[in-house]
Amino acid sequence: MLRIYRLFALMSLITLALFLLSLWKDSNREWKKYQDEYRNLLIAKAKDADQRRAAENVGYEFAQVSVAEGARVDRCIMCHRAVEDPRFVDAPQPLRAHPKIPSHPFERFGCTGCHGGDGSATEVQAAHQGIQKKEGAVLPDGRIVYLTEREEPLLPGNLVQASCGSCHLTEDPGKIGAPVLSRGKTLFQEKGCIGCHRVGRIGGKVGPELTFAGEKRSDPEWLLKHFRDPESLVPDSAMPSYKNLGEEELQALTAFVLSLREVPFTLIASAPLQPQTVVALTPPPVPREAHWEAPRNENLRPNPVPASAESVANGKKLYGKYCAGCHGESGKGDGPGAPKDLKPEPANFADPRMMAHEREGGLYWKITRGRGLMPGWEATIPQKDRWDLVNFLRTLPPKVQMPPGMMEQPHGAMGGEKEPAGHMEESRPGGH
Amino acid sequence: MAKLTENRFWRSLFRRPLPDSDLDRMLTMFSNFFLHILPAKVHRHSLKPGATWGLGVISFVLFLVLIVTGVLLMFFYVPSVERAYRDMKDLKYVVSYGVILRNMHRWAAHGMVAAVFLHMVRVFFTGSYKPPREFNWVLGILLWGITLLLSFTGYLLPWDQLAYWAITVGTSIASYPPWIGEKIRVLLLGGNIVGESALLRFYVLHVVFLPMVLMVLAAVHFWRVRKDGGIARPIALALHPVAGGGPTSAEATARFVPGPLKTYTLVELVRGTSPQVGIQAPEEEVPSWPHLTMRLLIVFELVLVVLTAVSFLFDAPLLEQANPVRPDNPAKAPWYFLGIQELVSYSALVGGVLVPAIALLGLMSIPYMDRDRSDQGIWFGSPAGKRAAWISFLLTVLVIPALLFLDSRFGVRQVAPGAPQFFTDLLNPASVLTTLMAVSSFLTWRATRSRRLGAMVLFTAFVSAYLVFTVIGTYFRGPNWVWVWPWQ
Repeated sequence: MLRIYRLFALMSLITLALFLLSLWKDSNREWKKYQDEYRNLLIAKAKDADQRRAAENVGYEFAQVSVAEGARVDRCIMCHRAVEDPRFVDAPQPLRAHPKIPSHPFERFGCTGCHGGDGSATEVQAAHQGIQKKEGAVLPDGRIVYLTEREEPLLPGNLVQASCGSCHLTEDPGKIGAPVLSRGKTLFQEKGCIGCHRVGRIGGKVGPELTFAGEKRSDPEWLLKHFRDPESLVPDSAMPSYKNLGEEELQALTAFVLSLREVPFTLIASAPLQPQTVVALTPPPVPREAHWEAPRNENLRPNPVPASAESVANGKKLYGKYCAGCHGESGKGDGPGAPKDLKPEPANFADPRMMAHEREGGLYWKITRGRGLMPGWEATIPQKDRWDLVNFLRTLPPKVQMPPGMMEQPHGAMGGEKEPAGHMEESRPGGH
Repeated sequence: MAKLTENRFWRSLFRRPLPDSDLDRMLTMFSNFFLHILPAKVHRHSLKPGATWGLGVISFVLFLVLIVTGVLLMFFYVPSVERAYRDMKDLKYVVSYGVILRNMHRWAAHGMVAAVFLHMVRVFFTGSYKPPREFNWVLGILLWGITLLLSFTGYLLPWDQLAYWAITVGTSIASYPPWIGEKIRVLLLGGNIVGESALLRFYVLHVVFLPMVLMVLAAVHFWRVRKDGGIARPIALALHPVAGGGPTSAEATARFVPGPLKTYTLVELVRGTSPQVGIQAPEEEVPSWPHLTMRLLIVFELVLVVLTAVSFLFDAPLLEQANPVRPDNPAKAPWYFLGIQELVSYSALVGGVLVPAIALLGLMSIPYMDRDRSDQGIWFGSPAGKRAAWISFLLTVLVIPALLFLDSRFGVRQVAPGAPQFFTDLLNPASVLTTLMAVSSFLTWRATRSRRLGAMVLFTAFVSAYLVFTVIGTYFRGPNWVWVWPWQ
C-alpha cells in the first residue's frame, strides 16, 4: 500500500478521536455535577419507596426563569435546583432553599435582579464573578496604570440589600427589611459625603457625581477597596481614606453606593407589579411646566469639546450674539428681548440649583432643539459652537458648596430624568 | 456490495465503476464534477510540500470550515442590538456544541487571514506571479482584501466591548481619505456611530455579500491556476527530472501515460488535437488520483485537527456587552489592521490613506514590472535573491525601531509642536520608511539591472514592515497609544 494511504488512515483516526472528544467535552457540562448532587440528596431525603423511585427518576434538566418578557433569563436554578423546596433549608449550597421574600416570587423576579451576577451563565465562575475588565490609563506624570474591575458580580451576603434600594426609592430601607442599606444611607449623610459628591440634585462638585454610581461600579470588592485606599484604584484621587471605619460600616456604605442606580429594564420584574412597587417607581412630583427635560440619551451625551479658555471665550461671544437678548447679559433670564410674561420664562443660568441639575448633553440638546418661543439653533450655530456655548453656560452659576445633610431624597432628581422603562434599552447614547 | 453498485440508480449516480487502473482514475478525475477542478495528471514538482506549503489549499479548507460553522452559527444569532450579545452568551452556555462552533469559526477566521497572507508571500518568493499569471496575482490581492473585510465585518457581530471599539477604530480609519472618507464611514455604518444599522449592514455583508464575491473571485482564481498549467514550477524542470520529493521512484515508474481515447479539435481556438494547458512535460507527471487527492485530504484533515485542538484549548474572547459611552483604553482595531492603526498614530493621512493605497497599488503592479520568467518556481529565484531578501528584512526590522526612536526625540511634534499638520504628514516614520523602501528598491534595480531583485527588496520590506508594525500595535501600545512593554 502506498505510504500516503497509511498517512491518510492515521490522520483520519486523529480527526475521529478529536471529533469524539468534542462530543464528550460538550456533554460534560459543569451544571450536571450539581444536578447529580441534587438527585442524590433527594434520594437520601426520600421518606418512602414512592418518593425514592421518583427521586431516582429525576434526570438532567435545562431550566431558566425568564423575566421582563424574556429580556433577562436567569439560569441559576440549573445548579440551585432546590430554591423553592422547603426540605432543603439546611442543605449545603448550591442546594439550599431560598427564604421566602414577601411579594417577590421567583417566577416573576428571577434571581439576578436582587443578587447580581450573570444569570445567563451556566458555569459557576462566570455566573458569580462576572466579567473581569481591565482599563488602562496614563497619569499626568506619564505613568501607566491598569485598573481591573468586575462587571456585575454576585452581591455577597448583606450587600444584596443594595438591590432593595434600587427599586424602593422613597421607602425607608430600615422598614422594608434592609437594615444594612439603611445604615449605609445614614452613614453617607453623617460622614458628609454629600459635601463633595452630588447625588441627584444635591451635593458638591469636588468628587465625581454618584447619582448612578452603582451602575458605573457594580463590583463591591472594588468599592470596598476604594473606601479603604482610594488612591490604589483611582490614582491621584483627592478622596480621603475611610479605613478607620469598621468593616461593617464599610459594607453598609458599599451597599448604599451600589443601590444608587437606575433600575435597568431587564432587572424589573415581569408584570404585574405590586401596587407598592408601582408607587415607589413613580417619579416624585416635579412641577412639569417649570421643568424642561432632555431625553435620557441626550442628557448622557458627553461633551466632546474640553472647557478650555478659548472654548469658553467663543461661547461667551456667541452667547452675547444669540442668547443674551432673552436670557440676559449675566444669564439671569432677565433679557429685554423676551415678552413680559413669557411662560415658561427664559431660564436663569445663574441659578446654581437649576444648573447643578442640568447635564451638558441636556443643555446642548435644548440649544439645538428649542421649545416654545426659544428657537432651535441647529441650523444657525455650528455643532462645535453649541458645545462652546454649553461650556460657557457652565461658568455662569456662582460656585457654592451645599451644606451636608441636605439630602432628603437621594434619588429625587432621577424621577424627572426617567423615561418609561421600555425606552431605556433603545436609548443608546452616542457622541464619542 | 455488488448488489448495491450493480443497478441502474447507482450507475446513473456514478457513471464509472470504482477505478482500478491509472487510466480509469484519470478518466474519473476528468468526468467527475467535483474532481475535475483538479487536473487528471499532476507534475511531481507540484506535489513537493516545500513547493507551496499547501497554503492556498489551507486557505480554501479554512474557508469551507468557516462556511459550515458560519451557517450553523446563523441559526443561533440575531443581528440586533438587543439580541446579539445575549445570543453569544446562549451559544456559550446553552447551545449544544455552541462553544466549539464559535471557537472554530473565530480561529479559522484568524487562520484564514494569516494563511492567505502567507500564500501571497509564498507566491511572491517563488516568482509564481510571472506571465501568464499576472492577473491571477491581482486577483489574489483582491481575495486577500475580501478576506480582511470578511473578518472585519464578522468582528462586530458578538457586540461586546472588543467588537464595538475595534469597529469604531477600524471605521474611523476608513474615514481618513479626504472628501470621500466621511461618506465611506457613514455608508459602512449607516449612521455616525456604530449602532443597530451598522450591525445589520456588517451582518449582511458578512454572511451574504462578501462570501459571494469571494466565491466568484476564488473560482476565477482556481480556474486560472488550472489554465496556466497548475502550480508554477521551474522552467528547467521540463528538461531535468525532479530531485527528491513527490512520489517515490517505484510509484513513479508504475505510472502510465495514456494516449487520447478520442481526438477532437477546437477549431480556430486550440492548436492540435487536444486542448493543452501550460508547459507539457508528461514524463514527470503522475496521476492526480491518488497522489494529489490524498495529499489534499491529508491537508484537509491536518487543518481540521489543528483547528479543533486550538478550539479546545482557547476560547474565543467575549468581553462585557458593548457600551457606547465607555471606550476601552486602548481601543484597538483587529490585529491585522493594527499595523495601519500604528501608522495612523503618526499621521492619519499618510498612515491611513497614502501608505495603504501605495502598498496595494505597488503589490498589484509587481507582475507587470517584473516579467522575466527565467527563475519562476524557484524560492527566492537565486542566491542573490535570497541575500537581497535577507538584507531587506534585517534592514527593515532595524530601521523601524530607529525611526520610532528618532521620531520620539526629534520628530516634528517634538521639535516644533505648533507646526501645521502638513509638516507632520510630510515627515513621520511612515512617510520616511516608505520613501526609504522605494529608494532602496530603485537603487537595487539600477545597480543590479535586475527587476526581480528590486521587487524582492521592495516586497520583503513591505512584508517585514507589515509584521513589525502589527507586532508594535499589538504588544507595544498601551492606553492613549503610548509606548508600553508587553509585560507592563
